Amino acid sequence: MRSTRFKVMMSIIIILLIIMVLAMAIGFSAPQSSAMGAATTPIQAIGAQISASFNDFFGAFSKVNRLEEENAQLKKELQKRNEELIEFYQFKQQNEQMKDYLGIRDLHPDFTFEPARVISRDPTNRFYAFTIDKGTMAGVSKHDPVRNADGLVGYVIEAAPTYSVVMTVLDGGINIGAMSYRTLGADTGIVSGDITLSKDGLCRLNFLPQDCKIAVGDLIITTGIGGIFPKDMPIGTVKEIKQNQSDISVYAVIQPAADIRELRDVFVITHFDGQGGIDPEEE
Amino acid sequence: VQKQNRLRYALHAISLLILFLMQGTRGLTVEIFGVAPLLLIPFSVCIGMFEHEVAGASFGFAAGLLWDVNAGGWPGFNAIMLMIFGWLCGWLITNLIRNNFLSAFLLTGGSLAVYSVLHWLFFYCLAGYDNAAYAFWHFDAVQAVYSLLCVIPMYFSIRFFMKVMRAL
Repeated sequence: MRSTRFKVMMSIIIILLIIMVLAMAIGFSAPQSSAMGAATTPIQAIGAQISASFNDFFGAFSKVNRLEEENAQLKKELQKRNEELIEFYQFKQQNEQMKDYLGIRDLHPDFTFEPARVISRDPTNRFYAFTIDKGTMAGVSKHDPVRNADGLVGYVIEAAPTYSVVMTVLDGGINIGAMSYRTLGADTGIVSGDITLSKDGLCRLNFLPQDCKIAVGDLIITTGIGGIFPKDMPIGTVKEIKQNQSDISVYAVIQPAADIRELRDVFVITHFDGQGGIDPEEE
Repeated sequence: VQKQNRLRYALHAISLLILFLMQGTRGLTVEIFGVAPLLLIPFSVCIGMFEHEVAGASFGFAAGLLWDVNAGGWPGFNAIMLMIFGWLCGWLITNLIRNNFLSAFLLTGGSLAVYSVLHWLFFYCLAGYDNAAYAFWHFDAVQAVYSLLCVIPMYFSIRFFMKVMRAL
């Protein structure tokens, strides 16, 4: 005889099998599963929550590692792009410089140029004198005129083997023979700097007669007299005409064509037809 | 001690180069009323104060030589001036006055005043420029005051650096 326990167990198995078969055949939720589910769902939810938290916690480490790798890779890529960008701007700048150079060269075939870069300025100089990265080793010599694509900048006052110092047209010590392009030499004067104007990047055309025909907006160019500066080189435009306080002459305030205060690249004219003459500080 | 001295001087030299570049390059310092500060004068004074007169004179001389490269005009003017400032400040601190911020401020002020007046005298008055007085009041005086303010960060930076070096 089989025991009562065995009979109960078999009964339960059979009942469960019947429920299972019926549930599968009819499609209702098995009550034992529902009951178990009802009991276990909150626990499962808590377990899932804990698991998710664990997953998030430990997953974060692996994510951080992955993000770090990605970040390093992106940084490398960005660095490469930046280097390419710097190279691009350098080429662009060189290209612009060469275009300026070729433009001036076409206009003045007798000029021999030496492109140079402004490397520093003396903060105690009130006329924006600057140092360039070319010297006697590059063929630059004292008194060579310096210009950029826009116009005359100044001339070399000191030429060392590897650098040169340039005095600008804003300097009160410079004297450049100049005339109006419009009046074609009817009124000539001397361009020189002025301490009261240099701060604003302006200079003066001095010694003009009272009845001069120069007008505001006229282009002022070099006369070429003296042999230091080539003829017909643009200096700037007339901004204002004023009466000189010390004598009967008038003077014109000139806005230089080149922005002297913001120069970066210039050309030293190491040779031109008619070069050689008196010191422009004594002209 | 010798190794420490070498390291200290090497760092002074690097500081000098950085300040020289800052002083000579437009855009690396802020311009106020159209003037940039003279960083090498407060530097020479501070080095003279924290080291001794020989080191002050040497660094002042080196700073002046570098400055003269950009200056044109009278080569050697800045080298002589800064060497004297460095030596004098070192000697005064060693023998007469205490090394504190007030001393640095007064010594830098005095050095800047002497430099500005002599620079103006030699490069504007005697050079025959018109409106030389305008140049002094609108440029030299403003620049001297602006440069004097630079002694504040410079003095405390060098003092901090010297303390760190002594602690090593």
